[in-house]
Amino acid sequence: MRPHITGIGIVSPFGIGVEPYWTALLESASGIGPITRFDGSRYATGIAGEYADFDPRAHLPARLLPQTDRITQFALIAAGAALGDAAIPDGAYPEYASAVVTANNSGGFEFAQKEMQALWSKGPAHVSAYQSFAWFYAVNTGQVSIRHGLKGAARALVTDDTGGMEAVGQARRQLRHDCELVLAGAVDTNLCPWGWSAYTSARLMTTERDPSTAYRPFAPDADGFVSGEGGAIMTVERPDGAGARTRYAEIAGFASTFDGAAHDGRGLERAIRAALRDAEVDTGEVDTVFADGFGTRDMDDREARAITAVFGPRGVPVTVPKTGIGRLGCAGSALDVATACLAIAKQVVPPTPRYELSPAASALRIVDRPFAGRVDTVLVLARGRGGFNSAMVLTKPRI
Amino acid sequence: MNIDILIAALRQVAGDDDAIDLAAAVDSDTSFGDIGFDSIALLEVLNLLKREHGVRLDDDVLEYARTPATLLDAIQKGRQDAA
Amino acid sequence: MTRNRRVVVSGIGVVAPGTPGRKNFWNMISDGRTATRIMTLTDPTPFRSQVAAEVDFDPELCGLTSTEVSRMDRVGQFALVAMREAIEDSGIELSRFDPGRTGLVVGTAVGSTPALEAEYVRMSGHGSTWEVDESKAGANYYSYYIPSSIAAELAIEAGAEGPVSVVSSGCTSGLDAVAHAVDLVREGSVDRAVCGASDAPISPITIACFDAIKATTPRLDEPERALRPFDNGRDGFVLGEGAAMFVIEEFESARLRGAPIYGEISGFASRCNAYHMTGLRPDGAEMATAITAAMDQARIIPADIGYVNAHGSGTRQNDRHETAAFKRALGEHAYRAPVSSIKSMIGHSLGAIGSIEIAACLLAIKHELLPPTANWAERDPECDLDYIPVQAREAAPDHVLSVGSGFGGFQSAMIISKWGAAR
Repeated sequence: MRPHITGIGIVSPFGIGVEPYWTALLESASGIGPITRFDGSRYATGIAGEYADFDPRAHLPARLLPQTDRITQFALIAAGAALGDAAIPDGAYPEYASAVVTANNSGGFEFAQKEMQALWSKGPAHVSAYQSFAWFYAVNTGQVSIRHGLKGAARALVTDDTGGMEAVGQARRQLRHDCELVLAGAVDTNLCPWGWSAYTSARLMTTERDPSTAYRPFAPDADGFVSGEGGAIMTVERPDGAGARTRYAEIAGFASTFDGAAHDGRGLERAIRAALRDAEVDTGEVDTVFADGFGTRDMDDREARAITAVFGPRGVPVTVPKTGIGRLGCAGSALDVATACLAIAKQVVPPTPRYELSPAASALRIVDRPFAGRVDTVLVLARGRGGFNSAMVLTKPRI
Repeated sequence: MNIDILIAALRQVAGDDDAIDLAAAVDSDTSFGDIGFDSIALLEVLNLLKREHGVRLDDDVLEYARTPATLLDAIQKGRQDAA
Repeated sequence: MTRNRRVVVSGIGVVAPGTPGRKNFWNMISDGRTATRIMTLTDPTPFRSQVAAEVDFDPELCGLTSTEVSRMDRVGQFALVAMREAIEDSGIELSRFDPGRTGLVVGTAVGSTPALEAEYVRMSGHGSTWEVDESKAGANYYSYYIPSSIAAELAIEAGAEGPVSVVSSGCTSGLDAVAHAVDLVREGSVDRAVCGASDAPISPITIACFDAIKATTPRLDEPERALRPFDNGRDGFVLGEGAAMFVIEEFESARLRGAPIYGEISGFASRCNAYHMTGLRPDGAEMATAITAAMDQARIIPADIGYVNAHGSGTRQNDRHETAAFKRALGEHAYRAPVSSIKSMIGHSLGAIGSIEIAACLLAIKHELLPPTANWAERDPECDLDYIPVQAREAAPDHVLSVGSGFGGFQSAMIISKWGAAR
């Protein structure tokens, strides 16, 4: 079964909604800048793809704010936008046939930092009752299901940065079983001092301070990524579900693999081949590849080799849509899936800004200006630290 | 005074929703459910009353205090007993 | 799930409160002994609830090296020890198979919370500042931050290179993670998987947040009798910890290698109440729907269920909700099917408990003995089923139902069948 993605909700450093994000993408605009949410100058990396103007009060009922972290506020907004976009009529599905699947890397970490501070500086009586559910990894799944009355099998997955795509893959699995609509995807943010330091202490991010050049996947001197916040949640329905409503794309193929001890990039190649096989798509039919673009030289080289091994040198147009906003934790892969849907719907490949490429990446045909042509089949790649690889093939809906 | 404490605690726990007049709710037989307070929100109200204002209420107060008005009564009684 | 590929369990590893190891676990729960005590992992005195069910865990005795201990928080250590026991138990040499056809799924509700808390305390000077000092972060802080690191550790050791993931749906994680792995085998993505769940949540922030919602028992007298599921005097759960891991295989593949078979995972379903992050509607409708769907998948009817392993967390709310759900789903048979909650003995280990309870169900099928509900003494008029009070009971169930209920409104139900009993 090839489910359809019928609604898209996006929160990005450019704001809420598809339009500001897509416009910025086509202009190769940058959403990366100095952190405003806390004092970024105190940390090894002080820039981020932050959604600095976010005002949750403008988008959510006041009742929900004291009990939710920023990450859950993003999730509620993205989920609401996706459902609004899909315009599914009331009562279209039976009571237990609609579900929520999200990925998470950290849960409500800023909320938890506040409660940790209350606990350790004032004592246990100062810990909020809301802490019992505002932090844990399943919080977004739970809150979204409550807000929209989605009573099917709920799930939350953690697979580092492949999580958002894994959630969409899990949606397909559930649509094959007992669901008819799954709200799937992920949002993420690590923008609080405690969460940020998990990344800086692991030296994962670039220490470059110039936002305009800091995140350059496949560049010869790539020394780390920039973190961003936001993500995408989508409505995924059975092929016969949408009827005459908008269908952005079909989920034609999906696979995930694990590197194992070798960490040589072969896991990503296996995932690509398995996803193409699952989609029954030949390499020649793929119109563009959305690369993971980790932003360190060795990870980028491995990805370049995997793409080249499958498609041959300069065998397929490649782009890294997240270059202007940074890596969105587990949500980047969900946003890339949503972006692939938009690329197919609008028949445009969003570009990657032009800069010098490393020798391994010179075998990639990087799309450096908006490419209008046939965009019917998109392969999206995702990787997570520790050895996680996922690949998804999205195709134009067949009539 | 007690009513101000209660309204402040309610507001802090459940957000500043302009659409709901908490003062009016305390002064009527509106239930907590009517103004969107669930069990966790009420536990948080009790926690706040205790740690910010020293108002100690029995664990089972929520079994009978279904409205802001009855909770206010319990607070008044609790403070008299403590005094 | 398609029914043409059937999934069996061939190996079990358990690290439960008390002494680690599958046999120690079974001996304890079949004897009706409890592991709930005044907590020792952290100073209990500042807290309302001061009882916990802790694992008497000596990493070295359990075979962990010092680097393994330094790299992983307790949650990962439990999972690794349980996984090694499960693999050894199944007799499988995973290296003989294509690693790409082996999956790995771990459930956890709160991951490395104690280690994260320790990192926080160090970096913030005991909460004295909002900005933190990143130079004080430990070498493994990032892997504590994202619990998929636990799955990665296990997958590398097991040699699993198919799909690898962490399922983290709160307190149903232990059931959902195994179901997730069963799906991977049934759909043909893999032929075998290592799966299960682990949690080690006993740390100040966890204790404090359950205190704040009065979910854990405030009982201080008789800590060994603190958790009283379905008893009229119950007043909250006791925090526990532990792990259970399994080797699951597609039946034909297991048969070809002559694997020992504990049983089959024959049905699973999950529903969400979409009602409240912590509250339950008293009617148990969503859990009942999950149970019915799981029975349908296993192609059984209520009368086929010989034992119900309850969530039975011992809160006023849960045990009534669950009793109502059993009646709704099983009808009159709810009064005949023996029900028990092993949490009475080993506490509630959040995301791990669902897997530990699957282990209990498989061992009950094997030993033809149903573990009891310890500490049950007085009937609650609203909890009027047969809860196997205090003493284990001999019985040979063909099909067992295990359920879980968690924050977020998640309700999961699994049918575990004696091999050959399912249609």
